[in-house]
This record gives sequence, C-alpha cells and structure tokens, in this order.
Amino acid sequence: MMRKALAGLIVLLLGIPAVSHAELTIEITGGNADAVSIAIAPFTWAGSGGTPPTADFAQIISSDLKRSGRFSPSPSIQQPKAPDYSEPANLQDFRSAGIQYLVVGRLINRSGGYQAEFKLYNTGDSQLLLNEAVTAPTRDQRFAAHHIADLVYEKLTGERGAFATRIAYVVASGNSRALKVADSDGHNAKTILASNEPILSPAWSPDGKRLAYVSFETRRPAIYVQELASGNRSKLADFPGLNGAPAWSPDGSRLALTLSKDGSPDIYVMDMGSRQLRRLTFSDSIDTEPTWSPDGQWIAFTSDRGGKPQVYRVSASGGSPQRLTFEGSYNADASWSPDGKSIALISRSRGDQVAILDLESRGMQTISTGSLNESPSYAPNGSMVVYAAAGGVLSVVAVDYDVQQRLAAQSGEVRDPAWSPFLVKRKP
Amino acid sequence: MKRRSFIALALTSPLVALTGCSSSGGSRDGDGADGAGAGAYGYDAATLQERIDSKTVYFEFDSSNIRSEDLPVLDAHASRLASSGDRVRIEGHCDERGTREYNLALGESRANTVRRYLMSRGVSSSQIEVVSYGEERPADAGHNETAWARNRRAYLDY
Repeated sequence: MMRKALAGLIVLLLGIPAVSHAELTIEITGGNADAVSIAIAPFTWAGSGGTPPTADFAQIISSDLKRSGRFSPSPSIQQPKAPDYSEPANLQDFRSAGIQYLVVGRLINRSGGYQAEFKLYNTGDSQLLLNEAVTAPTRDQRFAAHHIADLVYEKLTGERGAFATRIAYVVASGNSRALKVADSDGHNAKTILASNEPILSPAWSPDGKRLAYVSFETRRPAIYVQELASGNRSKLADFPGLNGAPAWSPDGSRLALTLSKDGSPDIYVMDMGSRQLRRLTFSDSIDTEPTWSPDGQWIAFTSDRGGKPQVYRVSASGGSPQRLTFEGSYNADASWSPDGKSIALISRSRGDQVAILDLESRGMQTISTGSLNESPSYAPNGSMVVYAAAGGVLSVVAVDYDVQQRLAAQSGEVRDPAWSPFLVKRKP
Repeated sequence: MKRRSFIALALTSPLVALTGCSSSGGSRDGDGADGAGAGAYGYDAATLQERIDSKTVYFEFDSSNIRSEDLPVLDAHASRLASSGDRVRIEGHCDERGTREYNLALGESRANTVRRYLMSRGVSSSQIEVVSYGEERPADAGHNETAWARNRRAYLDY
C-alpha cells in the first residue's frame, strides 16, 4: 500500500509584479504511434467554501504529457466517466477503451491556495502507482499542475520530468525588446526587462534564481545579472568591445563569456566570487558562444579559426582546443546536453537546422524543421530542445519523437530561448 | 592574415585588386572622381556620392573585408575626420543568417576593419569608437538576399 506523500512543491516563484501580458500561443504538431495511452480525468473540486482554482489541472497535465511525445492522452470527452476520487476505481471501462493509465485528482483548500491530490493507476492490473499531493499557491496553480505531470512522467518513463520549468526568451517588436520568462508551456509570461536597445542571450543560473543577459541599454553591449525574485541586478562585464554570450558553470561559481577587450573575441571565465577573469582562448579569430559540459570539465564554443565557424571544445582549466564539427561550412551556437553525451547546434549545411552531435559517434541528426533556426537550448532532463525558428516563433521539439510545439507571441518576434534548470526541489 | 586584411585583395578576381589599388592609392579628397574612374568595378560618381552621404559600406556574407569599391567611400570620410578631429562611432551590422552571438562578433570584426582602415588614412584612434549590433538592427526587415546585402554593413555615425 502506497503511503500518501506530500510532495514538497517548493516553487522558486518569480516575484515579479503581475503585469498583464499576452501569453504565448501554443500549437502542438506531430505524434508518436508508440505513445503510451493515458487519461487524465478532470480534477474535482472538493474544497469547503472558497472558490475552486481557475487552472484546468487535467488539461495542463494532458498537454504536458502529449508534447513529450511519449504519451497519447485521451481528450476528456472521449474518456469513460471517472470514478469518484475517494472510491476504489473501476478501471475496467478505461481498459476497454484502450487506455493504459489513468490519473484521477481532486483539489482542496489550503492556506494560501490549494492542495492537489492525485492517483495514478495502471488500468491493466488495477495497481495504484502513485498517490500524492502537491501544494498549489493561488498565484501559481498552473505550476503545480506541471509538477504533477512531472511526477506521472517520471513514474511511467523512469526519467525525471521537466514540465515544472520555465523558459526565458526575448520578444522583439521594431526596436523594442522585452526579456521575458514563461512556464515551459508558454503560459504565465512575465517581463524581466524592457528596453529600446537590444537584449540577448539570457542564461539561467544553475539554481534557477538569476538570469545573466546581454543588454545594450548604454548603447553598447554589457553583461548583467538579475535576481528574478527581487529584480535586483548588477553589471557584471562592461569591458571595451564585445561583452557577450554569458554561460554559467554547472556549479554556478563561474561564468564563461565572450570579451574582445584584448583584440578579437575570445572566451574568458569569470569567477563569480572574486570577479577575476581567466582567458581561455587566444586566437585572433572569432571565439564565442561558450557552453559548459555538465561535469564542468569542458567548454564548447564557436570559432572561425579554421576559416569558417565550427564548434570546438577546450578544457575549462585551459589548454589547446579540439575541433568537434567537420560536416559543412557553418556549425555554431552549441548547447551541451544535460547527460553530457551530445551537443545541440546550428548546422548550415542542413539549412540552418538544429542538429544534435553525438560526441561519441560524431554523427549528427537534424531535429528541427524550416530554416533560419537559432539558439537551441535543452530542457534540464534532455528530453526536449527549444529553439528560435524563422518567423519569430519558438519551437519545442521532443528529441527522440516526432512531436513539436510552437510558441508564438501575439505581436513581435520571439527569439533567444533559454530553458531553465529544474525548479522544483526533490523530496529528500 | 585571412579575414582581417583591409582589402579583399584578389579574392574574387585580379581586376578587383587592381581597382582596390587605384582607389586606395588615389586622391583623398573623396569627391568621387577616382571611384568613377575605377570603371565597371567601382561606383560611378553619383553612386559614390550616395554611398559617401549614407556613411555606409557593405560586406559579403560572413566576411569583414572591405570591398574595393567602398575604399573611396572610406577615403572620403577619413579625410573629413582627419581634418575635423570629430569623433566617430563605427557600427558593425550583420544579416539575420548565422547565430546571434557569432554575428555580434562578426559585426565587431567589420567595424574594426573599418576602424583600422580609417586609422591608416590618418584618423586618430582616440576619435574612434566601435560597437557591433550583430543582427539586432537590420536596415531592411526583409528575409531575402536583397535585404541581407543591405544589412551586412558598417555605418559611420558622426
């Protein structure tokens, strides 16, 4: 008998004033024939007094599981009537309808918001697989639903879910720019910084609490670090020439960046405590776009030292760089996968597509569509990649499945996405 | 020294190199006569004046070499700046192809090439500030070769 556990949902709330902002619109395309069938029954309101949550928990969980490519959730109107939450589930109807797993849930009041309780059943053998509860603060109900999707996903796939995460991105409209952070499904967009000068290259700190980014607000590029909860920020790099491409080391103690203060753009590493700089590359070519290996040992970067931009890697403690890409005349903007085994990059020979380079076999596989794609960024569990696509939309693609989600702003171009680290702390 | 040379010497054809010599070695008054005299491989007098007035020079894809036909444009500005002592801010720009941060670096490389050329023509380094906007400030919002060609540029702001 599974003990009912209260999953400590500790959300790193972005304490940003709730300004009304257009949500990103969402379109999911593609499908996976081998996807696991599941039904998320509508969550019932079991509160005493007060008002039920506005978020549609079942719908949010269904959408999350669907865009992972690994699940095929039944639309609610095609589901058999769900059993009452507290009654023993009669799963026969679901099994007969070809639905392999069932989630039932209910919502009750709790100080400061709600508690969402849910159960996950295998309809085949009627086994209760999960019986948990998460807290859902009133102002962040959707995030609690994403957390439930994470728990269901992990139980059924063995891989940690990454739906309760956020994506930072830039919206451009004419000369105006807004750095925003939204939930991983594009909802709850909040503005972090607005400017009439360029903003680019947001990068999450590994604790999910800060963003580093490049802003031209002084009419030249400088790197800032902004704490999301307080909005406090500081200028981190404002050297003569280029200050760009910030990337946090996995332990958050260092920041890789591109500076041209000593001539051509080179990769430097700044110690976040002492602000001391260490220069890592010494070419008279362009070296930029650093990304750390998850073990912190390596930094991959773009360099045209061989004549054309290619991806190289160098030891984070210095040394001579090794070239990683050899296919075509333009490979750039690498993003190291969370498991360290591959690198997502932009490949010109494939039409500016997002390709994944397997570091062991050195094979490349295209995962994007269209053209003029930029800025690939991995979800923290490595299962999905977000990138900026032509036409000013973001595309979220499941790495191993033919499922894609497009996120578009109601006005302006969306670009420069950066997927956050995991934001929900795990139970000890 | 590959991409960082001032002049696209003989990269495309020997005639371009010849034009480059006649332009850069010619008069520094920048009235357009030399450019026009460069014939089919340079700007005619009217175009050259237009380019001088626009304070803009253009680049090939993924290149920061100054095109030979643009040398008289820069000669004209160098002459003005050297005599006036005015400050100039050189903005480097790119087309939308290629990645954003790489384009920031490429735009700076373009602006620096122009900077070095102006200095070789008597402008003091203390007069010059360089900034790259990468692909962030296109002159033409289109998504085709015509727009891209207009966006690969360096602009002399003074």
